[in-house]
Amino acid sequence: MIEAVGLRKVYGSKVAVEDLSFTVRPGIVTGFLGPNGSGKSTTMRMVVGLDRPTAGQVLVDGEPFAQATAPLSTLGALLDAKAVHTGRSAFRHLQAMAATAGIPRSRVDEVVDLVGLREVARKRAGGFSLGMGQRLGIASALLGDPSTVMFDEPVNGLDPDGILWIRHLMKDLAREGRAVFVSSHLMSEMALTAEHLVVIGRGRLIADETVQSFIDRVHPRGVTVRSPQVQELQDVVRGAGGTLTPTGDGGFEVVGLTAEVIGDAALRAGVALHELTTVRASLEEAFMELTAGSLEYQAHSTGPGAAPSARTSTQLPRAEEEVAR
Amino acid sequence: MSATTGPATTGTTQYVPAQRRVTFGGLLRSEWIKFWSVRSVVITMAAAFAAVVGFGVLLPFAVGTQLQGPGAREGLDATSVSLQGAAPASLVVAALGVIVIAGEFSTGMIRTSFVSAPRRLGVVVAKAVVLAVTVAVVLGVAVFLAFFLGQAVLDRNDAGVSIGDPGVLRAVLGNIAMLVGVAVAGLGLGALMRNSAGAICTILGALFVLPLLLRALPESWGGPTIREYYFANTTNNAITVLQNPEYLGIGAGLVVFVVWVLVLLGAGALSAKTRDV
Repeated sequence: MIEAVGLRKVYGSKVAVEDLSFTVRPGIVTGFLGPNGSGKSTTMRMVVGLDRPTAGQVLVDGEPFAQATAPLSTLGALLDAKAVHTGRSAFRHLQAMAATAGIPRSRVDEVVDLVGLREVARKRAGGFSLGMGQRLGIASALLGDPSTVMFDEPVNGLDPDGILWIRHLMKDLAREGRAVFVSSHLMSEMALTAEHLVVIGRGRLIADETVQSFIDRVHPRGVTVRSPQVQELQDVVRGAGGTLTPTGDGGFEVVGLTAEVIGDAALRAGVALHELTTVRASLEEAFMELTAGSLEYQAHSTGPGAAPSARTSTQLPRAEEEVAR
Repeated sequence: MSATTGPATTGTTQYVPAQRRVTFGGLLRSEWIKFWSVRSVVITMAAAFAAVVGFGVLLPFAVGTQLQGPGAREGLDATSVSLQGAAPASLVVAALGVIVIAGEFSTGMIRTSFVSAPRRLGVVVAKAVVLAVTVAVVLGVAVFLAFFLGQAVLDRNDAGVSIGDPGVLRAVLGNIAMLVGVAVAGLGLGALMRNSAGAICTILGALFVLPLLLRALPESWGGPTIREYYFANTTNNAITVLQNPEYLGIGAGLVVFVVWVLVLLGAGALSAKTRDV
């Protein structure tokens, strides 16, 4: 379990994370979503105590991770880059980690098999592909059988089989009652694995809610309706309290009514329906909408105030571009 | 803020694993595994061994040819002749101390080390202990080997000394202590600078260039005192049988040397503890 309260991190004059609070609960996969450069990795480094927050604090199982007496059993982390000595074999790397907490050799073998590195475990980690490096990182994270796992962009460099494997792994870990915190800049990936979302943009919290409510909140669902009896359809929908917008290809998008209500009303009025489709906003769309909003807010709020500092105003467009991408 | 809010809201019981606690013994084992599982470290260690033993045999041969004629042996420190390899070896172990920790910073391994032991200080201390013990044992063997082989060579000209002669064993041990201290100083500097190339250049300059420059310091600037107390000069009398009054005596010199080493290690440990990784 991870609890962040008012986290702030400043590097020189650049604010990487600002007033960030969220909770990662046991039993579910919590997705950590944000564009590249939004502060996800910085936040994760603060969780494990590699970076010290400028303000605020983050607790893992009720205490700062830097004070954990059994760190490998408390939180297992796969961090963004390879945190491995390039000259050491995967097996020795894991063995050295295990030795710190007296984790037996059998557990090292276990995680090596679990991530499928058996054949290359004796080879230098420097020669590993990105995917193999990720697998080694995942093995390191699981070594101490931790109650919380934290993966920074775990699907990077994995082949389709590997991606499928890690999705199942994360869900299994959560089902066992562990807190699973996984970052990604890929909204589609989060839609498939996470139940809960923590979304950040430019270091600030944008959303902290379930995947479903995140989508619902941002983009209300509409229903696409098509009928040869255009006038009757409009009357029926308006009569039921919905609003129609022509989609341009002869159909209408209805907002304010569910597909069930429209279908029943059309049946009663004797209107033939050729299409009745519930339209769901994708996580992508929801995310773009939210981050775009936050950017507007950012631009308005920092624009006039940033006048004394030339540096801030020159940095702004670059950051915007990054998020827009 | 308490752990009770989480499980209650999700309705799931939190997974409670066996608590595997970090111990200092565990950190020592970990650092031992790390030390011997990187090829560059093993090669560096072998190079230091070769330097001590190689010079210990070669120099006595070279000196032996000059030992003809009356009075040639006056002022000859036979012990030092066979231990000349300790000077180049000190460069190598200084670099070794640096790469043991700076190599972790440059590869990213340090993040694994500090996530596995987030209090951090234990990692640095365990590294220092493993490094010191390894250098003491491996180069201890090398220094004794160099001494006995070197004296055997010098004995062909009747110029050798025995380990039992006054001051000889003390000088041999002094060289081992110097090598251990320099290696640990390298570790401290490596932790402080986090960059192998920079830290190695700095410590080589400190060991070999700065002492030469200090010789040029005039007396009015406090030259003699600075020379006496300067890091690389403090062991000058501890590593030889013949004593040079310009430098600190054996005991005082070793004390000042240890202070230098501990200050460097302490600064490195503090930096490792407090700075972001």
